[in-house]
Amino acid sequence: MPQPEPLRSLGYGRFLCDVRVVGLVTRFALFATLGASFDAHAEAPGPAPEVRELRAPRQESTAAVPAGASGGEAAPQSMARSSPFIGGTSTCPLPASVWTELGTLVPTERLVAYQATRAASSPMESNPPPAVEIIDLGLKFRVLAGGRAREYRDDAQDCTYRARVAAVFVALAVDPAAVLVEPPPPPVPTPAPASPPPPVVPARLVQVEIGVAVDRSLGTGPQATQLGGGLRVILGRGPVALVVGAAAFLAKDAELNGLRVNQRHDPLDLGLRARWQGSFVEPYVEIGLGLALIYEEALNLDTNASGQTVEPGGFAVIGARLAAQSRVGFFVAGRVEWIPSPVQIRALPTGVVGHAPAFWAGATCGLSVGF
Amino acid sequence: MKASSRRVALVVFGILGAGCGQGCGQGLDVGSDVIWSSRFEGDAGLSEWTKAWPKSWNGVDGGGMGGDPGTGVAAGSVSNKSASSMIAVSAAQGHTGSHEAQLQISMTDQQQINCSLTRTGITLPERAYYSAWYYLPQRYSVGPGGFWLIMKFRRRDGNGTQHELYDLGLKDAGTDMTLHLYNWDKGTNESSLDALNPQVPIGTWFQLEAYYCYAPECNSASDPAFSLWLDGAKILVIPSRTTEVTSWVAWEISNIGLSLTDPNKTPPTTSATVTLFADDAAISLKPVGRTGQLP
Repeated sequence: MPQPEPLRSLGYGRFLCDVRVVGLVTRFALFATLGASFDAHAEAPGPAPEVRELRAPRQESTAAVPAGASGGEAAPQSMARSSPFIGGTSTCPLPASVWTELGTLVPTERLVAYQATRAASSPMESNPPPAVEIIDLGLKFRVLAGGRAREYRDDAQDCTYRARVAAVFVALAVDPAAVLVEPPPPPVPTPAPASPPPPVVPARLVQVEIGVAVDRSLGTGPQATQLGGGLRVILGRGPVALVVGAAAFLAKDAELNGLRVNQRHDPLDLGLRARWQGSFVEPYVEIGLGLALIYEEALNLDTNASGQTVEPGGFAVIGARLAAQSRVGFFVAGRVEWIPSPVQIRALPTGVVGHAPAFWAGATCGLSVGF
Repeated sequence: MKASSRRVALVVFGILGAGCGQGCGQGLDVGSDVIWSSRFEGDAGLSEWTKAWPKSWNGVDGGGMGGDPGTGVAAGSVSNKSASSMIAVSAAQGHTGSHEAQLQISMTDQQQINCSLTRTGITLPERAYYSAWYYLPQRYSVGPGGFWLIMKFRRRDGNGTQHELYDLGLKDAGTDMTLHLYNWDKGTNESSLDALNPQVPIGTWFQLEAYYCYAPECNSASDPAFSLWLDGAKILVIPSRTTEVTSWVAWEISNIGLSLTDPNKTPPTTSATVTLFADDAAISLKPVGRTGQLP
């Protein structure tokens, strides 16, 4: 769609990029209205200013449309010549120049129709007065159109500028609806805006998670589900961070090949956490090595004893932190642990009754606080 | 990972490693169902037994029979000897550890020679397993009217009178020695051995384990009064008893012989010295078996 060159020629080209013509015209109309009120009060004290329609001398009109007289604009001179639409004695701006500018704002047929309507409303006059009259007052110039009058101050006496201003005023006065308004350009298919990158919230250097935990032994060892609490500390700001975790559980009774034991399993983890920060949920996985304190106490022997030792193993965690952007959030995680060589549980006279569990699975949920 | 994180990792792993060094991978000993045991190791000697009883047929003995716990051999004693019998801690045929008990009798004409290690007392449980390992250095011939007993159970009735109950002995089967059990409750040899004439090895350690229950409800095949295993194989079940028993039980590892001769001598002589070795004796609430471990 071509740019609205006529309006650009009015000297508002710099506004066209972001201001529509309608807005511009409206602004002009408001300015004109305020100006008229001010002028009316200033120049016609007492009663409200009388709106006059001045007749443009026909011969002047014809004479006032020399080619290129108002800056070489390509005016419809034949129409201006044949139409008594703009009259007046102004030499700056020349009526022809105003006509030329007006032709860029209002379709010619509208102006002709308007003039015809005026002529019809005054059937008694063989030569209806011009619809518009321009009067040069030196540092000011006055425009009369559609029953309204405006005076504009222009100390520089820039005739081209005056012609443009006058044309806009006339266009709004005689037929505001017909002002050439460039239809808004069709919406340019813009590429779908890329989803805004998630707000980058600097990860906290230290993140502490504390919560309740449940742990269940799996495999051939003593089977028990134990409850307890866990604490994890995540160190690092990046997507991969160091994690140190520990949990403590309440001992629980279990059975191993007829031997009843009171069993407790307290893991200590050291590993890495990979996390994906989302706007609300921050999923993460962990993997690492750990040591687990295993405690076993016999319950049904003639002489019951207890013992504890440390078992090395590996662990993996999958979890998510909720309210990821907040300093304090919630987390929930599942954890599995593998003890490659679980400790043997011995009782006399049998000797090795069995071994401690090789697999543990559990879950933890609680609060996550960043520092 | 930043240097600080690496330092933290090293510290944590150091702590973990130190903790692991204190006991990683070690087994957990969580208790015992062994009520009593005697391995004849260290300073214990024979003191773990209620009695060590070398007693000759002529009545010269090293301790009374049927007494209360605590009488007999003093703690730390390693031997008890009479003219015809001897009990000593030996290192000749080590089973586990380095020592065992040597029970030796010197046979004379038509004389019964007794030599026993006895564990007794009222604290023994209603149901228990009595286990011991034996080693026979050679085969002996049991002459007519003779016997060779290697394990005994005694009982007391409600009046406190002591009675013999089960005698486990060996018979000469030509080239082997076979087990037999005399049931004093019935007054007969038990013929219900699941395995007829179970043989015991010569020159090899073997395990005998008996289950003895004095509870009144122990009177059925499913809850028997007495059972016997040889090297882990059950060879005998005595479902019930007719005579009265109490909680008093005397269990003996014995070397009691009459008319034993040495078949390796020509002609066989009744003056043979009969020796057996015993080790790793235990009374347990659970079967010890061949693989059982003792304190």
